Amino acid sequence: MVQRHKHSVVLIWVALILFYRPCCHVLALTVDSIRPLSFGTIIADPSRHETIEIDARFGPAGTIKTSAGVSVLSTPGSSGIIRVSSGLPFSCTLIFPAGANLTKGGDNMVVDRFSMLSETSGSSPGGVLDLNIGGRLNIQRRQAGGSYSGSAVIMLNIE
Amino acid sequence: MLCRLIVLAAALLIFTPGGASAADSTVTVNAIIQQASLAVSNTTIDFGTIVTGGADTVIIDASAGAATPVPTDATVTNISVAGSSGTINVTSTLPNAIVDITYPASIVIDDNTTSAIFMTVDQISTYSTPTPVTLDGAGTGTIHVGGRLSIDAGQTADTYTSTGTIAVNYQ
Repeated sequence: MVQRHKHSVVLIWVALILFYRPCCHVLALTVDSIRPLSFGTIIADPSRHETIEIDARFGPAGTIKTSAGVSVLSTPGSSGIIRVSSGLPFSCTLIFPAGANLTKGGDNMVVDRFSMLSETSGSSPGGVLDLNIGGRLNIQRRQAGGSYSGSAVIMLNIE
Repeated sequence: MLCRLIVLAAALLIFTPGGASAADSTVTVNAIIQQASLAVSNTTIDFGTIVTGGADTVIIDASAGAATPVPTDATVTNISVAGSSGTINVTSTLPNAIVDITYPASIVIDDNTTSAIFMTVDQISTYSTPTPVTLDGAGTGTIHVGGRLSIDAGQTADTYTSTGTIAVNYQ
């Protein structure tokens, strides 16, 4: 009798595990930064503080000068792309850092306004979602020439 | 037994995944800054050949453009061979840039001998293109350079020369 009872318990356990369906899906997804945020090449006006923006709120975008100096955008830049992939429907919200520091040796520039100039959320029925990332580059008066680089860590809340 | 089942069911419900997750993505950010270049030509201010009967000054007023020497007192001094203001050509990779000009206070010109025979050119900033200068849409501009030459009474007749430095920089 006792043995039969134990078998019943085991069977119920197995049935519960087999037929258990969580009420929500566990998302299997990948997040990749597939294109950098590039401000291109700028011949900087040494007389003034300049700002260069990439406004990617509504999709891929290039560089525009938003200050009064005479800097020249000699090679256009482009917005960055974060790609989220999943086989299931999902939506996501992006949380940006206040700024990022670009450096070249001992020199630096600051990129800010990520949240104002990027796509801040998106959703997909399943598949691939590209989110465009923009920002504002601050070039100081008499900024040293050279190739500057840095990174920004963007958090994605996905559900 | 029933209690066990209830506990198991409760555990499964409690530990049901919520479906929300967070991920970080590191985006590379880059930019290349090119410093604007600025090239300027050398020039000569030529006061010409002056015939004078006493102390006088000769002025090249190039503040509004190219100019020739004019004696202050035409009854004393005559310009027998006309000279001209200097012209500095400015070229930049930055169209419409603004450049500052710094003129020397004076330049002493001499007859290139060991004797202390000289004349002074001054008021160069007064009689030259005013600073600053805005370059054109091609990144070019012109600076006209003049000044005032002071001639002493009994100035030794000779050819006088020297050089001075005019600085041109982005504002």
